[in-house]
Amino acid sequence: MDRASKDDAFEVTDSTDWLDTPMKSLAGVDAALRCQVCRDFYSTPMITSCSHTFCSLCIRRSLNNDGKCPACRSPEQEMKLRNNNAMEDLVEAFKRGRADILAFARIPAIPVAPTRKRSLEQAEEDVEDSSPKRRRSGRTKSSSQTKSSQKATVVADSDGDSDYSPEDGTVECPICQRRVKETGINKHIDDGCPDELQAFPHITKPGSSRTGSGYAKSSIQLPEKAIKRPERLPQLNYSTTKDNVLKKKLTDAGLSAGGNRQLLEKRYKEWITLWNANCDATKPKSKGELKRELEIWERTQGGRATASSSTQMGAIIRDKEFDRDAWSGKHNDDFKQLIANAKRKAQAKKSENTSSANTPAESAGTATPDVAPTTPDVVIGDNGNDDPILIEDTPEKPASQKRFFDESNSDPPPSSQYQSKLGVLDKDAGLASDITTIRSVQP
Amino acid sequence: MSGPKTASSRTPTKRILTELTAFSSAHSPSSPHPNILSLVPLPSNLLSLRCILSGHTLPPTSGYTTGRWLLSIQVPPQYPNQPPTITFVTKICHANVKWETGEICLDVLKENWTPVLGVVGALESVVRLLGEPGVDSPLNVEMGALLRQGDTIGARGLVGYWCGEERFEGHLDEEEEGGSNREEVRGRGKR
Ligand SMILES: [Zn+2]
Ligand SMILES: [Zn+2]
Ligand SMILES: [Zn+2]
Repeated sequence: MDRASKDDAFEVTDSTDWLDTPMKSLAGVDAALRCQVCRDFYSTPMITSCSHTFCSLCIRRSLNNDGKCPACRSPEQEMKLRNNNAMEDLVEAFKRGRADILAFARIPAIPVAPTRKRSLEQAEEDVEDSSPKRRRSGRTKSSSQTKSSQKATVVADSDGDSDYSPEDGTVECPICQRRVKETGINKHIDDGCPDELQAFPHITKPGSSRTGSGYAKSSIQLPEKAIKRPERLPQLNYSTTKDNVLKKKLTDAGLSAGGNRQLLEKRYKEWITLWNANCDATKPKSKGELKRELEIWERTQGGRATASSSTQMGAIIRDKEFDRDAWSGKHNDDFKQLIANAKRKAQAKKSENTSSANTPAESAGTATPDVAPTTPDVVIGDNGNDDPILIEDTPEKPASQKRFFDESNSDPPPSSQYQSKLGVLDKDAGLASDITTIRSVQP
Repeated sequence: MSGPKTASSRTPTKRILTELTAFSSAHSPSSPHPNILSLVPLPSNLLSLRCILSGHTLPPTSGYTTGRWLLSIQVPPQYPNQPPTITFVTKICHANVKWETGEICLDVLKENWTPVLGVVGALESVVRLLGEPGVDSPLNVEMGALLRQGDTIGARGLVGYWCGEERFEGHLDEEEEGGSNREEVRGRGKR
């Protein structure tokens, strides 16, 4: 499906996508495959020594920042990180199937008139009586009919198949009851029903290509071993590195050596982070790509952006002089597209809720960036209207709110008040002394 | 096929957008964040957000149950490795909130911040702080003193008074139509 390939930088998906479908439980699966730092699917997942997993880039940036695991705050070092390959395989497999499953899950539960596909399925049903999987809710069933008859066939095949007789040139061996190529049946019996794969043509019977490819994959993947990876870069001791040495390191790496000392350090640090994260990747990127990523970082998170710390930021934005044009210009790249995509997504959700007749093709279309947005573009840096707050005029407040000691009826008597207060305070060990004070006040 | 994720997919804007999407998707009468009534970015800047918090689920003994506050959230470029700056725009009487500026003293917004928390998690911590004031280094000295002396009735009276006096009655425009409707839907759920 087209959407599977649209899982690019600007596609915002999240685990709540499943909540408005009958497959709510997939929200948990979806969430478990996401990095808690970037909230996106793990990209080159690395496991820490405290057994938490993050994207390589995310955990490296985070450790550079405070040296602690973001999940449990235990101290961690970059060199202790290890690839979590099982997680990577899981994520890649889930990502490949996600769009299709989601589209399938979103097919509205309207009864479908009998079609050619329906009769085909009916025929199968007659053959294999009622296996548990056939007895699904009308909703799921109608979905499977509209989606593709192939899917239904796969499911059906995996259940009871004893009396299944495909037209694939196989016959059932009278001794072992396995399906054997008609041309090879005599040899098969002569050989005493050998267990070799050749004797199991049923795994390649129509519709069970899934199982077949599964076997093929595992046998191909066996020799999978060490991936050739670029050499990691060592961290620099910046306090002992002279300006000219740092500049030379940057120029040697083909990076800009412009800017003040602080900027140079940040740039080189981020370069090492990007580089080392890339070393973890199953398919490492080219140096040119890494350089482009460093440029993006410089514009959005590094460079001048670092000059304003988070505390200063509040001050800047509170200030009326704050140059919003420059600010949003800095975030412009992703911004327009992100907003447009989010709107499209919200729109899609809205229309899904209002009209149940939405087809999967439509909802897939709304998530495709090259479809014209249905809402007007956000104008970045437009000074005209950036105050979204509508304060309703409420000249008269309810009288009860103005009373100084506004006690609600449900309030417990004073003594139990202290008790419940104690419960709250108990959580903070530092308040122990105050608790005794409160107690002594009591009559 | 999608290649490895680029660094551009890990900008603060992208992550905020993911958080906002998840927040609004989970927003329903049975929302997991009942105290966060709305959370919206400025139309021109995704990293500058506004939020309305409600105290209705806090214990009555806290005094904050009738409160409704507007807060401002500034997301730094280094987010999520650096915490967002959250301040009360609506005045609030609390030992750990500076009355004049709305500045909040909360460890998880400072040295104990972790990227895992996110904006929504940080806002929930703020709500929790309302119910569990710390008196060690109060930003609001008078409130700190009242609590220290164990004058919880006095403290609660003061809190309740200002919750009524300063209550934020406005709504946050969600950029286009739908927004106000949603606010109304939520209003029904409130008592
Ligand atoms: Zn990540
Ligand atoms: Zn950990
Ligand atoms: Zn046999």
